[in-house]
Amino acid sequence: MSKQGFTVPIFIDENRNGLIRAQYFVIENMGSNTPWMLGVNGTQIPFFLIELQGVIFRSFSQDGNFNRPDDFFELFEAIELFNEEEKEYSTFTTLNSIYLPEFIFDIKEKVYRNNVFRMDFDLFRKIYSINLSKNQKQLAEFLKETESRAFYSNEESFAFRAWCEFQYNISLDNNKGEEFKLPKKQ
Amino acid sequence: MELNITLIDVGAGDSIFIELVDDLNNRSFGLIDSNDSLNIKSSYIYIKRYFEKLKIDFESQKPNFDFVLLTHGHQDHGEGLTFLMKTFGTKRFLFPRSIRNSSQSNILRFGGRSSNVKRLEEVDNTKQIPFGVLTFDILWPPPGIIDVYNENNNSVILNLEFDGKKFLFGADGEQHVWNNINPLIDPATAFFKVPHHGAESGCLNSGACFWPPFNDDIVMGISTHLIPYDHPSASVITYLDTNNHEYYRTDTDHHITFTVKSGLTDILVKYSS
Repeated sequence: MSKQGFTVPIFIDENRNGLIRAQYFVIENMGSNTPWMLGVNGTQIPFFLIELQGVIFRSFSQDGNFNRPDDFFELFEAIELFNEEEKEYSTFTTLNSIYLPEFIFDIKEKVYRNNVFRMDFDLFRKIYSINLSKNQKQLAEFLKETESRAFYSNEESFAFRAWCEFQYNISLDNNKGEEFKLPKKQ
Repeated sequence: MELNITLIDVGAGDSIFIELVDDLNNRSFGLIDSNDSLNIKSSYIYIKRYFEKLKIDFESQKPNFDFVLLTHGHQDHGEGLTFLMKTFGTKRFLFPRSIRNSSQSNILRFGGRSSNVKRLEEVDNTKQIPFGVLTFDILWPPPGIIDVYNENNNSVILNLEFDGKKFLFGADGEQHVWNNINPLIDPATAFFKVPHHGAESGCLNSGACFWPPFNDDIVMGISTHLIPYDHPSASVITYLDTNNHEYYRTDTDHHITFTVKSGLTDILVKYSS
């Protein structure tokens, strides 16, 4: 386990031949905001935020898990900042991906699309670094030596699928931009 | 008129930047997929520099794209789209019916609220996509049908006709898709974006090709996904070589631009090795 016992929720995107592409939520900011505070070694430093990316690992619920679809909505509402000047969200949540071998998942039968697993943060961080360098041999060697695993999260899987379905459906009902509606074939 | 199709080298996955320059020098832009990540924004850098080179003030001219299309709900096709639409703006964000998934749902969530995305619309083969003075024909998927087991088979397959030449964009369609749309495909197609990064699942079964036999002078482009999937498959490359097809691939040729101009027969290919 990581020193703090933190785990990162990862969402299965695709399982092909034992190689898994999973996703995780991140906060992304490419604009500028009013001063934020950064806590380093017990002190707090104000800073102007220009760019940021941060991995999301907790909801606002008491146990920090995403057990209800609303846990996702509440998180997005709290994080995303609308920039009046730019008429756009300058801080928003998006998804990034990570590639993992199937054998690190505790229940292989559950490794399919939109199921949620939780991974020890130290393991996630290490795999993330190796993924960036795209050194698959190094990744395989590292994983052979680690006991750490990704654990299936049943309640979060149900909540996540429900959120995806709900979000998809309300987006289909969005009728903005009628002037750009696609024409039908003649 | 001039049509430029650029397969942007995003390292792994698809990102296709399309530009049409009409006779009055008006430019239209479209984007099919993007696999930019938070750390490596290849599509963003390519498109930003392209606009800057043309002295296009993309900040004040939003929306710059006629359309941005997510061909199907896989992360290696959609990861960068939120940021690209936020930065450049689009009249339309288009997507197919999909196995409800996180990446597509989250892009839709963004698109529904962003002032830089003017419209969200699910596409199927009863519709067309306007692009400047041209129109993309949607060959696949049919309306209301979804493959719940294989997201690749929900891919949007497009055909574009320009100056009598046909340009076919294969997304990640697999055998089921090609079995259904092959009668609609012209063997004299001039350009083909090879499906599924050149993986066998999009191209071959026991050495037999899923697509119709194209004419010898077709030019092909492959948006590869070498790491970690090892796409294109060696068997697909052997097939293309054996059939003397001219092809270019993003892992070896980097960004590849296919240009066709009105009145000229050949497709010009610009790349770097």
